[in-house]
Amino acid sequence: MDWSKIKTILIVSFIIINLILGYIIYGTQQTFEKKVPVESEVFDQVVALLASKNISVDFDLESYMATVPSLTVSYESYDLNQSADNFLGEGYEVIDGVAILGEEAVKVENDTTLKYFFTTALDDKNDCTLEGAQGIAERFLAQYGYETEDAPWRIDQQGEFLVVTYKQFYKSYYLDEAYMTLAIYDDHVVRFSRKWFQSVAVQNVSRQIVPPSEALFKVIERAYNETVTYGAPIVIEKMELGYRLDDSILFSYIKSGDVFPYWRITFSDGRIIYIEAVKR
Amino acid sequence: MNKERFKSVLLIGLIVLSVVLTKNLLDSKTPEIAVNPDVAVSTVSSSLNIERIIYPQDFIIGFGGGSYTGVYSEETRNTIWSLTTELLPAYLSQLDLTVIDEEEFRAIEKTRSLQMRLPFAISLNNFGEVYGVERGFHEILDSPIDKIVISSSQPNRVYLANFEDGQYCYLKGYEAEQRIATQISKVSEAMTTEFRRVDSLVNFRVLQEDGDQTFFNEEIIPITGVEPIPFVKVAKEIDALAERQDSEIQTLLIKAFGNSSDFIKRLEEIDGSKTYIYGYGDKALRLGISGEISYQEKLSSSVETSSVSFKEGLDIALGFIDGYGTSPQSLYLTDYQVTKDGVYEVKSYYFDYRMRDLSIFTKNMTGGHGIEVVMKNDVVTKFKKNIRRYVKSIDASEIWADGPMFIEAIINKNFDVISENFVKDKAIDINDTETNWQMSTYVLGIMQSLKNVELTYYLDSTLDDERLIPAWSLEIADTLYYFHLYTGDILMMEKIGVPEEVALSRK
Repeated sequence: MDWSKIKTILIVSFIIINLILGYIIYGTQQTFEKKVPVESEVFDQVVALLASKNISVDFDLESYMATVPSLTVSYESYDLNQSADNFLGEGYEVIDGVAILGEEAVKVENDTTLKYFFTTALDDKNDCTLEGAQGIAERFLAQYGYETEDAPWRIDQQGEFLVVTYKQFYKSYYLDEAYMTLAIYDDHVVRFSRKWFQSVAVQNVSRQIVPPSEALFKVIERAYNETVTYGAPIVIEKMELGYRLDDSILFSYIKSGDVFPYWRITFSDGRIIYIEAVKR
Repeated sequence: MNKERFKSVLLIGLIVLSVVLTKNLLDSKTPEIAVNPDVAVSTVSSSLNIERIIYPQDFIIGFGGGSYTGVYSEETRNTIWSLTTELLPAYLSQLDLTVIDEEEFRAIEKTRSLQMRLPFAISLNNFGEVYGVERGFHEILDSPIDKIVISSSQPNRVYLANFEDGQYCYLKGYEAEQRIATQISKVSEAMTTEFRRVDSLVNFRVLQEDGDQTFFNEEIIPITGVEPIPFVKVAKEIDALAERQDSEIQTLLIKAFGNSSDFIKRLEEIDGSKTYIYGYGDKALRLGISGEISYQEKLSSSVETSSVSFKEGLDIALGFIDGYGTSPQSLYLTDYQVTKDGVYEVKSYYFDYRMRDLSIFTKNMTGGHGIEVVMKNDVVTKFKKNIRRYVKSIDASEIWADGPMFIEAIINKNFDVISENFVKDKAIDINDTETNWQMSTYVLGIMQSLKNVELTYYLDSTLDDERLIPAWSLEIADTLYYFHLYTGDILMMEKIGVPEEVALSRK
């Protein structure tokens, strides 16, 4: 047979094979994340039950991801000298693990937390506004190469400072234990710390998620105990799906690891309860 | 021609792409851990002899006339202990018990005798359970014992002491046991180092001047040279840096979490230590960079448990140890505690092991013990093990030609530190002129508080130094010291303090 014709046939058949393979792979990845509406009837029942326990729900949830993948996260690690070069330039001195130049200092804690701060006390009144703080924070991050697409997670007054906090996300999921905080005084950043995941990899395993109604139901017992203790009614402000690293007395100073999804329940007074989100 | 060439390139490209896609697809389908049924671990311990698990901390032979020796040979120790564990259970079952006072017990210690100090105070009821003796003992037996003495001058008795509570007694058998005398003679012939009581070494004239103080310390220490003890090069049991696919790691994972690998998370610490977590932390296994294997289980209140006896718990602990790495033949129980946690009875078993006939103190482990097993009722909720494998001995006699240092020389060398601790431990006011603390009374005070002198190996598991260092361990007042056998340097010192509830719970 004609060699050219054989090639044409082979090309066509490989295109078909590749399309099929591609479709299967795409299909598997799609099942990692599947959005479904919240079963409003059950959800409302749980909300009613919460209300009877003096816990009110102050958020709307129309849909949620019924399946999500597990992730593998790995922290950025920092080298003191490199970080000091970046923030302080040349001529700094290292004393007890802290690089110091004039009023500014840099240190690295447990390889994974970077801290930059002013060593002098500030006594004048802080002139910075909430609106101005975000701009100052953004310029600071851009200057040192730590830009983020996300808006600040929150800006609040802490003592003399305005503190801008950024949190890391994977798609729409929160990633706990990864943050940047910037304390702003007048027109400059006087304290900056960063603990950030360098890589977030998706595992090839998809997890069935506990529906929000079930997660809220699990909140009852834990929140109710506290209502009894504090006597005040509780308002649940937010309910989010995301990831967090486990903690245990068994280990410390995690560099990298696998994370499972958690429902994060935030109360109006700032308290947080995590509910295990993987169906067993 | 150009068209043909393009087709060839395209074809090759498509073939490569299909290979890549196929690999990608296969990867995503492969389970995280291929479970090999052959590596399933047996849970029942067969290699450990439970009767060897209860084993004295040290063996001393009295020759009479104030002369003693310490026994370090594993073989001789085993012979003596076999004899003891033959006599004691037999006498226990006859229960012909006589309570005596301290003076009588001290007198028996001065005769030709085999003396064994137990690593912790064990109740005779627990001891009897291990050796299959029926329960229902005399109430005095509820209090734990910490020393056993068998004398050739009273060959049908076993003397027991509980120094903490000040209780002493002996159990009587029907026949005189001739093997006691034979054993003492055998050790006497092979004796290389002579030991004496501390109080026999002190100059009494110094004491007389001080008047009302009495000097008494029955602890024995060597007065002739101890044979050189080699350093030992050792290796960690596990390599925490090994990959998850490594067969040893897999065996451990299957042991900890069973065959379901789907819910296992892996976390890596900055130093390279790894923790494997099942689900949301129901069970966790940590492989530390310094060689320790730790396991933890959250006991859910819905799990049915039942309380266990001392021996049943010991069996569970040994089964657990056997499954995680190796279990040294020289393993023995060094401490045992019982506490309460809500509805659960919490039993903690601590084990140590020997290498080249000496016990090993492992720094950074609870009480320096090689293995810790904690169970709530019959479920192990905490397990920690940090032991080493023997690689080879390193002769020290060339580097330190003078040989091991004597206890007195070590105390002299470290006198400043020791006396500083001593003053704190005893809450002595050195400016108090009435008690007249002079140098001589100082030294006497220290010598009088000298306790639990032992030859051991010292391992600092946090250092990257895989060597066992021969050491003298001893206690002065409330401070425990480890001294380098050859240089006399302090390897470690710490305050001793057993909480009262723990001391009570050993019964």
